[in-house]
Order: sequence, then structure tokens, then C-alpha cells
Amino acid sequence: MNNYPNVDEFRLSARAWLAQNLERRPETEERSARGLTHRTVEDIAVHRALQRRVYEAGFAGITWPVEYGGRGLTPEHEAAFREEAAVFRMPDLGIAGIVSIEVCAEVMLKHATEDFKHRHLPRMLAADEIWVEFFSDPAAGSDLAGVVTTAVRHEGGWLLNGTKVWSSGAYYADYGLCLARTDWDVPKHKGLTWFAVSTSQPGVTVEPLREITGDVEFCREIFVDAFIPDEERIGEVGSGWEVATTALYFEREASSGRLTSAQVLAGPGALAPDLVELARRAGRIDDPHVHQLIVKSHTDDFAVRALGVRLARLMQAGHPAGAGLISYSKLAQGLVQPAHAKAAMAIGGEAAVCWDVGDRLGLTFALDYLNSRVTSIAGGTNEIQRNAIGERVLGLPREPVMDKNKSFREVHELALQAKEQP
Amino acid sequence: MTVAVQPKPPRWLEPDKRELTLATEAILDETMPLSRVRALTDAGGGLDRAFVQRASAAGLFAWPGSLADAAVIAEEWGRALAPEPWIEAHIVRDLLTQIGSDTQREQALPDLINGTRVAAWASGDLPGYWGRERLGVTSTSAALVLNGKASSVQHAADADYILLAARDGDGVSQFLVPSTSAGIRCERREGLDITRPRYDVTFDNVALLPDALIGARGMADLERQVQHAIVLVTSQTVGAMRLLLDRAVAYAKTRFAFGRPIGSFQAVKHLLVEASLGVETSAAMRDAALNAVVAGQVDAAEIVSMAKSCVARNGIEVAHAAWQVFGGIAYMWEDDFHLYLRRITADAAFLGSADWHHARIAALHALSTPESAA
Repeated sequence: MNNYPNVDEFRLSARAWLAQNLERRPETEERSARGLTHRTVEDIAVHRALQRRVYEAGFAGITWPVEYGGRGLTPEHEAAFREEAAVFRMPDLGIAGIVSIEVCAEVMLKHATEDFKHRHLPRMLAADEIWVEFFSDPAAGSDLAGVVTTAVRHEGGWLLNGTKVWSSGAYYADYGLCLARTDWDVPKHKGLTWFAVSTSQPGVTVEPLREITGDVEFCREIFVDAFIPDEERIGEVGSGWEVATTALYFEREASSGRLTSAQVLAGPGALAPDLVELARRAGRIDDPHVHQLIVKSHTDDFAVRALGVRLARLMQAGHPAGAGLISYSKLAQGLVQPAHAKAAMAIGGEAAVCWDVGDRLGLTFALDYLNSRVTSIAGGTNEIQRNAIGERVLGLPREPVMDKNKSFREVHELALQAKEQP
Repeated sequence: MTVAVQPKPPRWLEPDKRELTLATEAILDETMPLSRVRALTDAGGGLDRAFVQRASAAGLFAWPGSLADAAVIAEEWGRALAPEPWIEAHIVRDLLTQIGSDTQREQALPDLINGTRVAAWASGDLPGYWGRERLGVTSTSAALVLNGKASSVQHAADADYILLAARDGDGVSQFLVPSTSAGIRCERREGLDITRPRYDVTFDNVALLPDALIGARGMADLERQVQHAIVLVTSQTVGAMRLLLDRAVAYAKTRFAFGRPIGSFQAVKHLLVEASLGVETSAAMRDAALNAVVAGQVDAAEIVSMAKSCVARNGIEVAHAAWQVFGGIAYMWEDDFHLYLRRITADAAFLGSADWHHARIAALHALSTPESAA
């Protein structure tokens, strides 16, 4: 057979290593929210060092092929490690750390050359390289194939010019996975190619952006004649849309939870603790109307998880829409999260919009509200998910498009003219 | 409805449910097509005993198998809009099998299984549920005597038995009462769901025979049958929702306006997508409730209540989305749409509304006292 450790042996070795090397999580951890504490480059460096130890101990990339730095073990090994690690403080590389492994690496595994994978993947597992997405242009988000950031051939490589935006955590990342136009004279989906862009190379400027929470997390990148060697290209020239489809799938998975792994539905647990606390603060804990709002949110939160388990089962059972079912999970969260956040404001009233100086919990409720449209916008908006479900699951006809069979150059010029003559 | 005359579009079924689904569908197509549902409705909504016996002979009525399989059958039942008291049959069979007396098992049960006799269930008046409690028994030297009124009992006047739960001193007792007993009066009511007749049943000093008592006196635990019935009614609603969705999607592909299929307009497409999310979410919550009940999870009561709330709310939204897509056609009496709208909306209120279940969940989490939940 093979000389892989069985799951139980692996679990025991993980348990022993974790106990000796990582700190335990406290029993009750203070609630956090995106934007509550800024992740500094120094703070990330501490977690990079921790991740390197996890990697060296053989607990990173558990299911990845050995040749790319992984262990080549089964999802059951991975699940066993996760269970053991749940009570420890694991390395936290922020949102870029998640994107690096769950989106960028997956794209490389599917589309990059062997040489590229050997060069980058082990370093990604060890957190020597953190990768982010350079996807959206300022003028191309939902219409991702409409990017105007351009790469032209130049002496064994490419010269990159343009601007990218909404790249979370790019200020502490090492590389961006960049979608660029390499041919303006074909229809928009056909002239795209992917490149690896180092954030520290000449011609690349990363500008952190201050966002709605007041924190700085996502960034804008400006490329001025940045040189990319051809071996840092991912996928064939002009096949960028095919690669993008992979990236968008894993982005949906990363933001809505992985469906492919076997899932067991955990019980509903405590009744929406944030809403209950806000009801207490507002003095409305005995108000039957408030009970209705709390339980409705609690029910819908649980329903999203139940839906994820059902979708995973349907995918495994061979549902004809296959991986396209992931859009249901993304859309469900994109609808339920804003509804929950609005319920919090309705329940809390004044208590939700004003709190004592230094009251972290009060602040987290506000941050939850400000973050509540992350899922409904990022990684494909609710509207894009609805189109995907409508067309690929329900089989409804596409809306007529006006840029089909036209070169991107022509489409782009029409858009510029429209802007000049409103 | 106008699109109903088109050949049935193929539908994807989960492999492990396929055989039972198709077997149920075949019997329903043959013996209880929508034209038959309409004919029964026009005739006043009586019971089709020949159909019940036919379905019973196929083992699809008073289902003896697992709750999971019962949910599969119930989904088809809902899809076909079959009006017969299928959930009631399942509940009575389960009760008598689990805790029925020898006499009940020997005398009542066989006829309920072969479909020669059917039972109605006074499910709107369960002590401790949905806030109505008007049935009570008292002991006399001769017998137990039942008094009170049960509201909106489906098929009561046509059924051979009425299953009911009544306050009995400090406890609750459950009875299977022959509908011909002296002192029972059924009064027809009108209702949104015109396919299933409902009656107010008055019990005026009805003397109960000892054989009528199910289980131990004063010790009735209604929770199991309530949970089972909710799994089944949510399954029926999921079936009805999915049928409406399928038809609305098919219609949106073929109905042209402004030179293109209306389903290509995002306003229509997105409406249908949210409806399909509502169907999948409802099915997921039904699955969660089913699994929690079968596994006897400690939080089964909460998950069942969540499922009822979720399916009730989504069912109505899906029906309205289909309504909007069909447009004026759905307003026609001869179109089948309104029959589904009526059923889905009526079943949203059956076995506790969404709001009632929310209050129950709040009580389970000790956010409120059970009294205020009722």
C-alpha cells in the first residue's frame, strides 16, 4: 500500500506537536470583528514565523501533493488536524493569508507550469510568500473581463501598465495574481492573461486604502512599465478567462465556505448572541416583537448552514449544475448577513449606534454592521450570483449583450464616448 | 395552468430518492391528476376513498417505512396537490404502532392501513400548542366524557375516526374517536384552501369507550407526532413550491415580450433565482429537521420549529414570485396556480405559524416564559 500514517497516528502526532508548540485559545475569547484591530506588517511577520514552524512540522498543505511542499494525505487527515488545532491559536495571516492558500494556490495547482508550481507553492505553504488577487480594475469589477490593465511583450517577458483595486491585505503581501489584457483586438474574454506580480519589484506601487470601518485593509496597485518575466505567466496567453473562472469559483468557496469537503451540520447553538446582547442593552429583552426579530435572524443564520450541507450533498450526488451550486451558498450569505445586521440596528436602536468610549463590544456591533455587505459585494456580487444561478442552474436565457463579437478596443471606445457625451 | 398542458420537463432527482419519487409520481399521475383534484373540489371536496385504497394497496398511504421515505412521498403528494389526509394517516399509524392497545392494533389499525377507513386529526387544538385548548374530558361512573370544540379539522365529516388530544385533569390524554359517536357534530367552514374541506367539530357529552384512549391516560406526549407532522407538511410544501418554480421557470423561457423570452430580463430572472434559493433553503431545513428528529437530537424541537418557520415564509414568497411571473394568467380560476397558492398559504398556518414557532424557539432559549410564547 503506502507508508502514509493512518489518520489516528497522524492525529496523535498533531496533538503532541500542537501542545508543545502553540498557545491554547482561552475558553471564552473576546468577540472580534473585521477592522477592530489593524494588522501591521510586524504583526503579520510574527504569524509568518509561526506558519513556517507549522510547515516544517508537516502540518501545512496536508492534502497537497508532496512535490509542491504538501504531505499528500487525505481530507480525513486534514479534518483530523483541524479538529485538534481548533483549541489552539493557529497562525493568522489575515484575509490575504486565506486568499493566498484558498484562491491563488488553487488557481496555480490547476493552471500553472510545473516549474512555476515548484518555485512558488512550497514558499506559499511556509508563508514565505503571501499572495493576493489583483483582479478588479477601478472600472471593471462585476464585468471582470473588461479590465484595461495591459501587458505587452517585451524582451523575454511583459511590461505591465494599469491599476488594480480592492486587493485585500496587499500591503503585507509578496505577490499579486494579476489579470491583464494582452490583446485589445479580440472580444473581451479572449484577450486576457494572468501574471504573477511581485509587490516589491520596480514599477509596482501598493497604496493602502482607508475603508468604511476606518481600518486600512484593501489596497490599490499602480503598475508603470513593471517587467514580468514570461515564466511568471499563469496559463496560456489569451486563456485568461478560463483561469479566471477557476479563480472566481474558489473565491466564492472562500467567502461562502467550502462545499466539497464532507460536512456535518452543527446544531443551531446559542441564540444570536449579538442580537440578544443588543436587546439587553436597549432594555427590550422582554419585548415579544424583539424575540421575533432575534429568532428570525437565528433561524436564517442556521438555514444558510443547512443549505451548505444540502448543496454539498447534491454536488456529490451528481446534480447537473455541479460546482455552479456554490452560487446559492454565496447568495444566501449575501442576503442573510445584511438582514442580520439591519435587525441588529432595529433591535438595538440608540444602543446600537452609540456606546461608551472604550466599549469594544459596542464597537464590534457597529463594525459588524459596516462589514455586512462584504459578502453581497466581494467575490461576485449578489447580482452576479443571481445571473450565474439563473443561467447555469435554472437554464434561463442570457440577457442580450452589447459587446459580443466586438473587439475590446471598440467596446472600450464606445464606453469612453458615452462618458464624454452623457 | 396554461403551461401545464406541455409535456413534463425532465427533473433531476437525488439517486437514493429516485425510485420512491417516481413510483409515487406514477400513482398520483394516474389516479389523482390535477383534473381529479379539481373535480373533487367542485363536488365539495369529499374524500376519494377509491384513491385512498389504491394508494394504500401500493403501500403509499399510512406509510409504514422510515420518516425519511415518508418525507419523499410527502413531497410528491404536495407536488400533486393531492387533498387526502395523508399526514393524518401517517401520524395515526405511527401512534397506534408505537403505543396503541392490542384492541386498537387488531381492530382499527388494519383498516387504516388498507385504506378502508381514514382518520382526521384535530391538530388545531392540541393542549400546549398554538394557544388553543378547548377539549376536555371528565370521568363519570360510566365512562369518560368528552366536551368541547375543535376548529378547522380537515376532512372531519368524511373521516371514520377523529384523532384528538384533550385536557384530562392535570394531564393530557389522546383519543381515537369514531366519528359516528353520539354527540359529535361537524359544521362545515369555508377556507382559503378549497381542495380540503374543513369542519368545526363540537363534542357534546361524547361518551368515550375505553378503546378510544391511546397510550396512558393523562400522559400524552404530543411532541413526537407534532415533529413528525411538521417534517411531513414542510415536505409537502417543498413539493408544491418546487412545482410552481419549475412551471414559472419553464414559462419564463417560452413567454416572449419585447422580442425576447421574459426570463432573459434580469428583473424576472432574479425573481426566479430568489424563489429557487427559497426552495433549496426550505428543502435544506426540512432535511435538517428530518435528520434531527430521526437522530433524536436534543435540539430537534428547535430545528423542527426553525424548519416550519423557514418553509412557511419561503413557501409564500415562492408562490408570490411565481404569481408575479405568470402575471394575469395566474388570476384565472381555470389556471391551477391559485390552488397551489391556497394550499401553500394554508399550510403555512397549519401546525403553528412562523411567528408561533419563533416564540417557541425564544422560549426554548429561556428568552421568554412558555406562557408568553403561547
